[in-house]
Amino acid sequence: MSLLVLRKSQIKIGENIAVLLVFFILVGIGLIFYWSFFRESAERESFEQFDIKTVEIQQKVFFLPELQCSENNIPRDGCVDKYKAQALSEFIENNPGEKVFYYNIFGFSSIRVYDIDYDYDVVVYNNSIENATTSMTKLPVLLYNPNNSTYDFGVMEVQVFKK
Amino acid sequence: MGYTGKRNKKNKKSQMEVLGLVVIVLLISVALIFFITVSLKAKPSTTKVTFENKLLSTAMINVILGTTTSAACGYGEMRTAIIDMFEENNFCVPNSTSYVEERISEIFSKTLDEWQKDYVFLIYEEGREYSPLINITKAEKPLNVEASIYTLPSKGRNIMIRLDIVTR
Repeated sequence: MSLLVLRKSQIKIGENIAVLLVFFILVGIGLIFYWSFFRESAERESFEQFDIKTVEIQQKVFFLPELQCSENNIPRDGCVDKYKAQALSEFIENNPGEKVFYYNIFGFSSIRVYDIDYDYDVVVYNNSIENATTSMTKLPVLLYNPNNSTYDFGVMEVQVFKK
Repeated sequence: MGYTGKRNKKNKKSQMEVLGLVVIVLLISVALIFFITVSLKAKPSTTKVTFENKLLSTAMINVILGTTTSAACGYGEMRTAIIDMFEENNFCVPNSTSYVEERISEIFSKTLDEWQKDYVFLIYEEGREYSPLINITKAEKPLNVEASIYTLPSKGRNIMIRLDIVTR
């Protein structure tokens, strides 16, 4: 009789262990799922912020007084003065100290302005990182040539780098 | 002995049943997790892409209008050539319509085509959307997106310039 009781209790304990085992497996699987979902969500938000930053920098360049063209001292939106862009590019390249000033505005990025018709291609600012994630936007701009007061069709290319 | 045998058999049966239950629960859990993971996977944000294309189409129209034409139009503004399309149509050589169409096609081939964009570009008089003077299209199917529409006032009528852009 006592042997029977012992057997019964052993079976009961075995059952309880099995139930606990299943429970902990389910909890483990739930934790794995939650972790992967959380990580994906965080990564997605990081990329969205990165894209927003690219647009932000593009807007800053668009309205930079050092590049903006003007008529009778009235600045014109969506327009880049060719000679100003060239001058700014040379200024930043020849003055490393000034690059730090523009780093505070543009960070790790590369800004290029080019004409689709003529041989005009200027890298205004270049602070790139190798093997980094990048986000690029291209926007049409008017390129003003003060020599003959003409406006050409240009493109502003902004590429932002993330470590 | 017979009774022990029967009891052992019963024990074995229960053990097998419990094992079976465990396997079923595990299978259901795995299937559920797989299903939830797939359904919650992020789809690409179409709002962001639509916004970018809207920004691009607005900027494209603004820049096209401000561009200086070639000697064929006496180095005037593209805006003037477009308005002339609906008037004397002689601002450019041979005529403003063909110059504007050729020039804009050239611009798009060097920009939107290279950037893998589909587009529909129309210039028409207000109220006559279905008979545009200029229609430059590069889209495999009709575009169902909000377009940028620019209005150019001209001698008692409005000239509409519309550009739809969609990323392929």
